Amino acid sequence: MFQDLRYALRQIVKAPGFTAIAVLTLALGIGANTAIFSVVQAALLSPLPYPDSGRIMQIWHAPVPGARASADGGTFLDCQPYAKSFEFFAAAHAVDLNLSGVAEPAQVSGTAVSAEYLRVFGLKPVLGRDFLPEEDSAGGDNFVVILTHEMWTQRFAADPSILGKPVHLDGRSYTVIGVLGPAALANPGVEFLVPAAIRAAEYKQTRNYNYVCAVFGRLKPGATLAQAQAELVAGADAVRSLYPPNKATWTVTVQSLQDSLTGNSRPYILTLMAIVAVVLLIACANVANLMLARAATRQTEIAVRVALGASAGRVVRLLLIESTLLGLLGGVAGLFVAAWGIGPLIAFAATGLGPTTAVTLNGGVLVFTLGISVATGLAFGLVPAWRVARPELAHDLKESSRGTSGGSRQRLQRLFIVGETALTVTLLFVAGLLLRSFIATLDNDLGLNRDNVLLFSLNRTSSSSPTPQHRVRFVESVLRELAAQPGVASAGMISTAPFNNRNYYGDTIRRSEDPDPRSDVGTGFDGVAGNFFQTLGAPLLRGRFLNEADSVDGAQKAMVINQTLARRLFAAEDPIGRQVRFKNADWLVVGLVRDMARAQLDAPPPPMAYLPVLHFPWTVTIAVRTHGSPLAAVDGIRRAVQTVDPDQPIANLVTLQQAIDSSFTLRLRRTMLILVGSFAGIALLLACVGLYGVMSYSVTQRTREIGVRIALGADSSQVLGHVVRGGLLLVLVGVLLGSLGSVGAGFGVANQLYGTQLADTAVVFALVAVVLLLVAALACWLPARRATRVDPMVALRAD
Amino acid sequence: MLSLRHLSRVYPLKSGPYYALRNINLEIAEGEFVSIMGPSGSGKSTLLHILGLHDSEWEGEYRFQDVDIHRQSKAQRSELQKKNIGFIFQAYHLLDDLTIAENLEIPLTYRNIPRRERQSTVCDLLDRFQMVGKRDLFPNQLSGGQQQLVGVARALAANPKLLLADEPTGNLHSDQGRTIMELFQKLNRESGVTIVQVTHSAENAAFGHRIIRLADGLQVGN
Repeated sequence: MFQDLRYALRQIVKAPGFTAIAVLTLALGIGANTAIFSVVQAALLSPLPYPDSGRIMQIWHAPVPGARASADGGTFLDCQPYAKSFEFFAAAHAVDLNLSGVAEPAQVSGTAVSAEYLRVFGLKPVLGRDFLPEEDSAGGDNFVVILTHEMWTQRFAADPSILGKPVHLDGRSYTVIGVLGPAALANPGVEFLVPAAIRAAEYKQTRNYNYVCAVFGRLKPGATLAQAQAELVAGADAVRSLYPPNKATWTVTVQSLQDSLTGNSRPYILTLMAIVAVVLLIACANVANLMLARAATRQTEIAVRVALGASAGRVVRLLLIESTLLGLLGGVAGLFVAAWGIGPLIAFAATGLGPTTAVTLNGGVLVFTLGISVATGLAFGLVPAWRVARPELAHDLKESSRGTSGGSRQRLQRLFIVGETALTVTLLFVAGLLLRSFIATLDNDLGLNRDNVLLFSLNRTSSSSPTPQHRVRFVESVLRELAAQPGVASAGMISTAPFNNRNYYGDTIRRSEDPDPRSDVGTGFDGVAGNFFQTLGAPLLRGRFLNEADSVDGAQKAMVINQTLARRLFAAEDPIGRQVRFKNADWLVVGLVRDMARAQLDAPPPPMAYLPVLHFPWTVTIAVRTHGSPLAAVDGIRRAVQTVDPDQPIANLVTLQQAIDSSFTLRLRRTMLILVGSFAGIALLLACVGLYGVMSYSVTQRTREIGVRIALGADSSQVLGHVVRGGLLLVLVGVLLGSLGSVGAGFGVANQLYGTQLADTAVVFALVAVVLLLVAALACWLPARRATRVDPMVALRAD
Repeated sequence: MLSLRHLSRVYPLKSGPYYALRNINLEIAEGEFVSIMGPSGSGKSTLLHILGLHDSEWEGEYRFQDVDIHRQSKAQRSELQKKNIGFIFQAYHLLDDLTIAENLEIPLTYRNIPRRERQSTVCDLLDRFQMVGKRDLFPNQLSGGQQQLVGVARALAANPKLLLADEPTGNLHSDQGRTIMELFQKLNRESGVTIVQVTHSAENAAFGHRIIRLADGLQVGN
């Protein structure tokens, strides 16, 4: 074995050109697999950074069994008595609060949690203590806070005596009772925890999404997900009669936290894994072709070895050691390709796959790379080794047989070309479909004008604006100041920013004349003020917009609805002037606006009701349309807000275009497009290099035949056509086979497509075929041109 | 040592069967030195490769050291070949990437001979053929005659009873050819190795005890 290893090393060193091309080809394939595996490992395989994380579950509301929707405070309280399999059970609600009393007042993001939250995750503060049950209860001291290590170090200079000190959040004093360890919480951006105190506030206990929660539990040792699911479903059955009629079929889904966090991106990551595996297959086919070509030059050597007593197994072993060594060299080079080539590409493109997409070459990844390097070496080496291990001794040992190519070897080479062409067609087709979907997503009519609009949020503390009326006055003052700024065309307010990648508010609504609550439909809703619709460019279709008079105490409750909600409530009837039942009150529909995309570009707009700000003033996002660049108006906008309240921080400032660009679905599509497109490009390059190699080799092997043809009168164009036709025929067969693969791949990624019809797929396939044939024609033309320069005298003499 | 009865080698071609050898009957005794002669295409090399068990697609009977080769499996033939037969090629066919010592060692490796014993045999061969100083050179650093000497040494490495040589002097000038023939004669006389060589040269053929002549696949003289 050691002897074979030594000879194999010598062979590799002896042919540096061959080795370099093979290693580079393998490096592209192995590097792509290493990089994507690193993402798979981080996102799907590695346990979450919590003790015994396999026992942490997330509990979802389920419109139908198995589905997932956010839970709320009511669901949490309903489930809690039935959660017997859980050691700890907790709810979490995202909050943004204004931090004051520090050098730089700012809006900070945190989580309001029930008492057992940290215990669910197996965490303890490194300084101080956890929440006490009474701090999460009615009548207890609910104004305590646990800081994350990041907030403690960045905003309080890691003050070692922070415990017991007051921190001012939204104008109220919270006592610091604990500090978490560094990066203790896996969700970045959370800076603090405060008690949710769901039992202390009636509105948090409703079952209509007033208080949207994520519910988590830690299973008792030995308890299973199935047990927990059965218990909570039984609980849901028991309390279902308490739920609104539109939730009559709802139940509960229990899912491991790992699956919860990665469930959305899992199919995309697995698609990428499949795609890089195909790239590696193509690389293997290329190197196998190179090995076959080289086998021709080693025909005599192998025959001599066999004549000297080597068994077929010994020859195969020697050749497999060579190919495995090449695979390992390709693996080492692939690590560099992964870290320095594909790693930055993923870092640039893969934000849509979640936060855990850095290419990290840890022990697991290195073992994976070692594994696929060896497997790759065996894969591309086996067929050529098997082919040459049984030489025809009497023929191969004759001096004149040196370098001649067997028919079966050429057939194998052609087979590889056909195979890798088919795989490349399939990859290009998938990339084409994703591109088509991306374009369809971008072209989607959002129902708004995204140019020159700036969005930012203003979190109003309850101390500075204790009543809804105070909040209305604040918002209207800010909007007036903004409208007076030079460069500002219009300004308006909405409760939650469009495309904020977080939740927006929802509730149930029905026609007032229909007393049967079973006719309730779900709808999103926002409080609005000022010229919100004009600012976003959403046209009024019927009736009127809301105005300041609608936000005066005692005014008739009026709302504007969008087309989707109008259709659901009134079908084709005119909604204007109709009464609707919403939040236990009757409302008059005064306006109908065009549908606007709310959170996703590639989904139908949700039904929306827009209320005067007086009726929902709790969260505030301001939208400003400017005449020129919105970012140029930022200073003026800050001044306008500070004119109304100098202590009011501005948060989450983005242009509408930026918000759309960074929306989750668009990022995911962009990520997939860039990565799949890049890998398909690599596949195309490899396939063409492979085709070029085989055609070039074929021309070399056929020099005598070409010389004879020229001697017999063939002109350049005939020789050129003859060679190019031979190559293109292989590619054409590959394209035909690839069409079958494309059908399968099309079904595989169908759930990742948008706005792509059957006709589009035909166009995409036609384009792929044309592009591939053109590039393949170029790959054939170069060796064909060489064939036209064959000197018949030299060629025939050489023979 | 070996006998052939009605041995034929047929290549099925589109135009019909082509007889490379037809009805060959031959006896070679142990210790003989036999030369096979004939014009190009007469079947000399084909016959030698059949004797060397490189080719198994023949018809007829081949008996080697009281073993019916025609009844043996491929694996059995391979074992028999490894134990008894050494082969020398016109084009030397040394492995370019191996040193002279490694070239001599390779047949022993394929016979699973322990490393220490292999090294001892290689040292003996290098000494016997006066190539100790060349042990770490590569074949392309030797002259044609020296390469063929290595080829002969390699064929003898596994101590064969039958040495087959396919035009061993075909690529050598006459002095070098004579040296190889004298070496064959010495091996035959002193070590009792049975030798069968294919040659075009009447002068070289005369080093053997008798000449077998072939023409168009038929045995035309003995």
